[in-house]
Amino acid sequence: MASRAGAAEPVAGPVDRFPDAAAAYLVTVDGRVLWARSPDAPRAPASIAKLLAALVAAESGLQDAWVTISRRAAAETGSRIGLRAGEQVRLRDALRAMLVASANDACRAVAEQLAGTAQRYAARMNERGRALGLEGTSLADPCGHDAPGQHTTARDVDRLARAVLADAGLRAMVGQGEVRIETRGGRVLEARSSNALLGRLPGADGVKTGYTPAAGKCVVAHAVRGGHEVMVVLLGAPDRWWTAAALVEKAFAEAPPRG
Amino acid sequence: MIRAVPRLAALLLATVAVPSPSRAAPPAAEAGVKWEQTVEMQMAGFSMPARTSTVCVPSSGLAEPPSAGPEDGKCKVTDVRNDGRTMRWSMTCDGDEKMSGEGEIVQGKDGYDGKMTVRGSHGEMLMKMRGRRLGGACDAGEVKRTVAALQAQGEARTAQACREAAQAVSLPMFGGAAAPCKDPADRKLLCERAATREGVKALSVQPATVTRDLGALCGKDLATLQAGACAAAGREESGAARGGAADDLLAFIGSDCPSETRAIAQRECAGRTYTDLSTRYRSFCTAYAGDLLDKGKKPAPATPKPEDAAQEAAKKAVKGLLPW
Repeated sequence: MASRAGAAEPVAGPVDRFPDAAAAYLVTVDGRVLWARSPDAPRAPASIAKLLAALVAAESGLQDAWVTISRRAAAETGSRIGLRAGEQVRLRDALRAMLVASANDACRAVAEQLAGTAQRYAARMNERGRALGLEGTSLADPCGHDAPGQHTTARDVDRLARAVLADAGLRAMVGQGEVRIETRGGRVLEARSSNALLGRLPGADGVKTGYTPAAGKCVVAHAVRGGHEVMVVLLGAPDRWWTAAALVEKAFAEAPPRG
Repeated sequence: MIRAVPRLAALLLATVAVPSPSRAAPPAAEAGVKWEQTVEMQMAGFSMPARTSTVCVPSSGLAEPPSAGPEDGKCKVTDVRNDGRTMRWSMTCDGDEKMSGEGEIVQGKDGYDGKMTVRGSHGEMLMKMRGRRLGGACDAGEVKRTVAALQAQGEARTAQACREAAQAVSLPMFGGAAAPCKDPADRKLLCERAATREGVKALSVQPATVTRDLGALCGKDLATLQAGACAAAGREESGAARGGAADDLLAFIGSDCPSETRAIAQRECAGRTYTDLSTRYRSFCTAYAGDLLDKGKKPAPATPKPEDAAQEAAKKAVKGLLPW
């Protein structure tokens, strides 16, 4: 089933059935909000910001272009795939590294390649976010490092994830369990997906994880079974995998039977 | 009440249209003579049009009343008395239209006259019956054979439905005085099935007003059956743990057996990250995490608290000091 690019239908008062699941969460089945907690409260986005970074990059139409790794990109902290300064990778491969392995080195390199600086790329991301209707989202770092004034919401993450899944190329990337890329110089880099649900939870087909001290553990998870689709957004979830897996199961149980 | 009259009339007219068959063996061919039979019915001040039909009566004459419900087998003739040319009988009908009544006919050489009074929930009905010998040979056993065959088919269908109901642990077919399934073999199968995982699951979705019959039928209530099935499932799971229990076994335990679920969760889920779970128990542990979320607890199953472990150790230590 194809996901809708629009956000989940807003509800007057979503039911907070699991108050301890996360600081903010949103669970939908077939685009219908089942349960939510603080879905419009500002939260640090962590690496879920990379979804918007990848969407802007994919829409540039430059996926075959070579991306040169700067010193700053190579020095990125957190999750990395191990790119070295001066190396080049295809933009497409850089996107795979940042979406599958949440690689900050690849993310920074893409931002600098397409906008000159990370700050200017963040501005382009915010512009695209406004066009998407992400009213509660403002990003300062393209890759999701904690930064003053940077925030998103569970509802915006749901909408953003749907926009990513609507892009066939990005959808394929966010569902991969591992990534293997080759630099222009022939060096092969491999990493496993940061999404623990892939290959473990039946029907799970993406989307993205994130963690920073300000955001806590985050995940936006999507799964498809029997013609139904479930999206679970968890921002600040101490037991994100247990919680996400359990909520996906509960959401499918709420789906009406197909005739 | 008036609208019910035609349906009752149809039922009763059907009951007098043919002689009632014996239930023992299919009747053989029997020499008979054609008679014309007319029935009029009156009820609540209304008279139904007379109904005339040709029937085949044994050459020896009417040996039993023109009654008993061959259409649905729910009307019975009892207490038949012959006094010279007069035959009297009683009749009762079960089913949706419960009725009872008495009848009487006086036979002559070439006919009979009689009446039957029937009382039901819709009031009292009077049926006047008249028979006239037409002559002409016929097989008086043919109709009886047809009716017997229909009855046999109905009984076979009921028997099949009862076996299926026992297999599916469908209590309404067995509980209560009006339940259609009486065969002890079916009841035995029902009770055996009720003690299985599938049986407990089937029972758990039936209303309490139905499952309360379990005690009378099987000698055990639902809680007892469930506890037995859960204990057996726990043993089976424990025995299969090394190779991995079947999905349906774990699903049953997870949904119906709280005590066994906690034990397995402690063994297979507690203290592990989601990625550390064995493939076999991942769904089980995920469902358990969902139960914890429902209870407002952390979804990651916790290992026993240190104080719990300490208490257990203390208990063991004390037990070791005791002389038994």
